[in-house]
Amino acid sequence: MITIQNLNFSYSKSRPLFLHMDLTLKQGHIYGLLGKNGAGKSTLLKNMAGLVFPVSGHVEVLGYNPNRREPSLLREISFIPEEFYLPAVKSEQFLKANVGFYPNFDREYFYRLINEFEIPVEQKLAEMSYGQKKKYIISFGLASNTKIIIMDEPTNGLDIPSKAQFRKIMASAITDDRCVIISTHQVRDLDNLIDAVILLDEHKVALNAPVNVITDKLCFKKMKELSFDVLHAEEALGGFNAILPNTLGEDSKLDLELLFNAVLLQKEKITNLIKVDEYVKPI
Amino acid sequence: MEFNANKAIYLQIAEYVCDHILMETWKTKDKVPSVRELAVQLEVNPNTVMRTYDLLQQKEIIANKRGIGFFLTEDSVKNVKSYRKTIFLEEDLPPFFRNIYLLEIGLSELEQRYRQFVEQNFNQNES
Amino acid sequence: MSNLFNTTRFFALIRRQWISFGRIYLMSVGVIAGIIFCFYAFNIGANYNDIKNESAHVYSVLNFRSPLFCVLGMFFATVISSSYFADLGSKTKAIFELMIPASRLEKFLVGIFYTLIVSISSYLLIYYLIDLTFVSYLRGFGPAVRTEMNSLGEQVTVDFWQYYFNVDYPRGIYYLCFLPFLLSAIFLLGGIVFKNYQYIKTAISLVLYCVIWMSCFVYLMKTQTENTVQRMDDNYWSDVYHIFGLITVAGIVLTVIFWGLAFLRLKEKEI
Repeated sequence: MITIQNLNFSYSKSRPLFLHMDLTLKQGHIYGLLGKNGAGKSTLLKNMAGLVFPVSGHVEVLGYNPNRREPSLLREISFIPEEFYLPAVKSEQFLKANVGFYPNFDREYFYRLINEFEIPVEQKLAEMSYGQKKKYIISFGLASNTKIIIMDEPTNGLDIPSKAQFRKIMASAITDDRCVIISTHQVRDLDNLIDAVILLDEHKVALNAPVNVITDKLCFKKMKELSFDVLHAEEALGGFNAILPNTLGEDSKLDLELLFNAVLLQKEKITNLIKVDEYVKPI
Repeated sequence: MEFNANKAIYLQIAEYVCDHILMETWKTKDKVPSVRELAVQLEVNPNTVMRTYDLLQQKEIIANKRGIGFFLTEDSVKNVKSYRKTIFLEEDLPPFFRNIYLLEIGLSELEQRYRQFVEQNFNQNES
Repeated sequence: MSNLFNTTRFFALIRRQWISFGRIYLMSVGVIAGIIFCFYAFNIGANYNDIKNESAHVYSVLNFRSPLFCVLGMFFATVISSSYFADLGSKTKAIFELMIPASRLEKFLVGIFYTLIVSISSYLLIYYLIDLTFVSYLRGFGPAVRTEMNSLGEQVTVDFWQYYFNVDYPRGIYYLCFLPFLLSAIFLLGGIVFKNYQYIKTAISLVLYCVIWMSCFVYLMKTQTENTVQRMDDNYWSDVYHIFGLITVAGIVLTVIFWGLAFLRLKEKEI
């Protein structure tokens, strides 16, 4: 669905952000995009949406070059930025003005989402709280029924019940022909929601693998004592949280934070294990 | 549903489903929730639930009727028990053995306590 | 559906842009109408007794109209033009503008539609309407037609209280009709290029540019014509209207160039 080949990108010539980056995203998955501050998560999303222009390289989304900003591509992308603006009009007026551009927009679904998120629609959009606005644009984006949904830190600013609602809604939103990309720092918010992980580090994609491939290759364990084959370990209450090669075919639960730190600290060791047959199985 | 930190999510979901079957909140021949319904309810990725359902199909606990959805099989309860038994023997028994060995608890003491436990917890129902 | 231009999308975009742009537009229209109204009311009020007594110098009462019309018109057109794409300067607003599924051409043409067609026609309408109201009021005081002698010694009738849309302008003025279009195009471009304070920055750039250009021109003409004598030839350029014509053509070409630049900048806008 999204193919990035040899992407070079920088905001200023002296500080390259991406160097020779390759990345392929397939439909039917919710990708979690992780990376340190300044690793370029938002910028990568903007590259996919055609909001910025690469220095060189090739970005292809649904067969289009996003930089051409063609309506037939734009109507298949919902982009939900971290910071956004909603005009000082009521929901109905906003819908009237914007719905026409999205041929697959589903009003009934939209009202269901608004209901689920408990957003007051009588209010002017600009007067809503940050969290309400965020839930409003998430609802609008999902109801647009686009093939690609790009979300930059969607759970930022959501209260605890809203986060649970968000997860439920996303679990129902993913279909076989859709591709969802969510960048986040709040790994715990999305732990069980994402089924593929993209990790940005040092100008490149350090890791892009489905969760089940990761847990096939690696074993996440709580250990009393470290054994010789531990790849990465962090001290925890009563022992260590550790990553080991999964030689016995054990089924463990992916610990995103642990994996994140492991990849940042010893990239080769981890990624070489996973890369053996790095592919995303279609569901 | 609270997931614990160590076990793969799809296995935890499988246990959740098995619990429902053993407690008979889901009854034999009933339709079970669709992949999407269960995913929404548990706030997990539908692909994870799909993996659970694949596993449960392998164990012949549920079966897929094309175009209609998933149903419990005739032998679902029996199969759940044997599946659970395997898990118990493989995962729960070794640490238990380790503890009784380390704490030097004799088998006779264990047997006595076991009988007591069954009496207290299950015999009331039968009388 | 075409990815270049589609009428349905174009009209949908006009409707959509009204939500963000309509507020600024209506506010500007209100301010402009207020200013025009004040000018008329003040000038007529100050000369009220003269008008009533039909004293001889009342003919100058409405002389403020032409400068007011031009200055205010330029101001209105440039403010509207520079604010139309101003949203692109703010990251949060620009993402939605750029992601709306309409082609770049449609987005640009809707910009032209609002900054040119809507703004100039509404300005003319407002000005003429207010003028119509006040001049009708003045005409209510009695006959406003006098017979006078013109410079050639002929008898002509002069109407003091002419409606502004009936006033005859000197011929040269018509050659400057490109000016609002050119200014609108320049400020439209400025609104896209600058990220904030678009109006001030565009105005300053424009003034600086004009100063530099005119200084060069004056210097060039001075070196070319110093110590020369003008020959009264009857060539093409000795007709002042031909020179005006040249200026018009240059103005139109510049307008188109600025629009082209604005389109390119809009196409390649990054967030």
